[in-house]
Amino acid sequence: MEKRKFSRLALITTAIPVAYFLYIFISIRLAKHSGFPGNGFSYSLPVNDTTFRNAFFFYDIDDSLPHYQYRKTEDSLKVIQHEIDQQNKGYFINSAFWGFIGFSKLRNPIKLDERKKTKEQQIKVRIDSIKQAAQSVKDPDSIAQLVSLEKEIFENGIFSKNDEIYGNIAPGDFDYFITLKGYKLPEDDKFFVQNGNYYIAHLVTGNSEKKEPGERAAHFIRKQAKVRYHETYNTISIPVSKRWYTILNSISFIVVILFWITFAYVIIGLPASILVSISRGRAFTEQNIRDMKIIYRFLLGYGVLRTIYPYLEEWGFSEYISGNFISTSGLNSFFSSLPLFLSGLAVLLVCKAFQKGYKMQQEQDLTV
Amino acid sequence: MPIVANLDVMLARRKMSLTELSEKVGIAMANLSILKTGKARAIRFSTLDDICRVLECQPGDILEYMNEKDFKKLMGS
Repeated sequence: MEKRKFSRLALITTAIPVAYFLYIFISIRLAKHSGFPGNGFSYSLPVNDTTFRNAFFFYDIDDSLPHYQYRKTEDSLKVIQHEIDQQNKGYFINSAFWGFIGFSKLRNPIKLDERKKTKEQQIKVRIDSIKQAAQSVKDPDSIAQLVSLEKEIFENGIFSKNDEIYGNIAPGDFDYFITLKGYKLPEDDKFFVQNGNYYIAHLVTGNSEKKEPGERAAHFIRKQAKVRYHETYNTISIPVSKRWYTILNSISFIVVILFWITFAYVIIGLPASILVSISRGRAFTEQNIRDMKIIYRFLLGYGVLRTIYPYLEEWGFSEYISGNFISTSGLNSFFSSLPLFLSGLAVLLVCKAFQKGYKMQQEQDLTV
Repeated sequence: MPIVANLDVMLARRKMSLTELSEKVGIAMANLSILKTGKARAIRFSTLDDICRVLECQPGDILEYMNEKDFKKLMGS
């Protein structure tokens, strides 16, 4: 019986990923035992710090208050917190992500604040005048009418405010951004917007131990950032002019459409054409080999592009990213591209087999 | 591959047409044309045996090895 031999190349190529996964596994296990992720230190962080425009706003209500007062205070503080969060995240008017790059149109925070203040002032003046008028009226029907009018003005006013926030008003009130995904701030850093500028409250830790062993002194410093940050989506938005926004958005849209047409042609059209050709008895043809070459080159090329793109992006936009933000892509981009690589390799193998088949068929056809 | 089949020379010597050879050997005209025009990549011993038997010749009378230069000149490339 023939002794089974293993291919040396197959063994080596198997050993590389196995070694890599073992390395990852061991690293995680070791990190867990060494107190990952805090390295055994805790920091005394400032809470309720108002220096950074309430970036660290956290309410703590006196629980000895009567229930209704407690809830009222809690609601007010929730509204304030929501408003701060909303301003830091921005009021989105329009946002689209075209593959690798996104485009966002946001309300300008300063102009929005001005409009809101003006509107609130207008509502206050009108309600005050109604209240004054109500004092001089005795008739219950008239009082009821005035109360209803006051309610109407208030509700309409609120409605108009929302309309201003989310609706379309003056074109100059918008800010335009290019959005990049896959970036986050270090765990303790906070992003906030103040007077239309973007800041990061950056945690600086001292080496000296404070209070108790294992606890270190820490404080925040204010760093101005060139970009907006959205912590929920882990995106950064780079401000651009309206002209560039329109140009780049249109180009990206066209590129994405062309890409999807190409993708559909390569992934659906060409395999269908090959299958039809094989079913008609024309398997080993130059056309089939050419189509397979297009498929595997596209899959492998797209996989490589997806893998290296985050690094290219980081390098290209290093002026905006470096020093403040951490890329969350890392090796994820490689793993997310793995299906592309594997399917590309599978098509490559089949293509090589077809090339050999084509050659053999040619020899067969030209053998007399 | 600088090997040429001098089938047309042998056919002329035996005053035989390709169609006649095709009928006697039992090989399709298309295949004999491939051999005659030098497009063939291989030839079976059985085919060679049939042709040699009908044309009363040796394999060397049909097949000839040429140097690259002469072969290219002959094939016009």
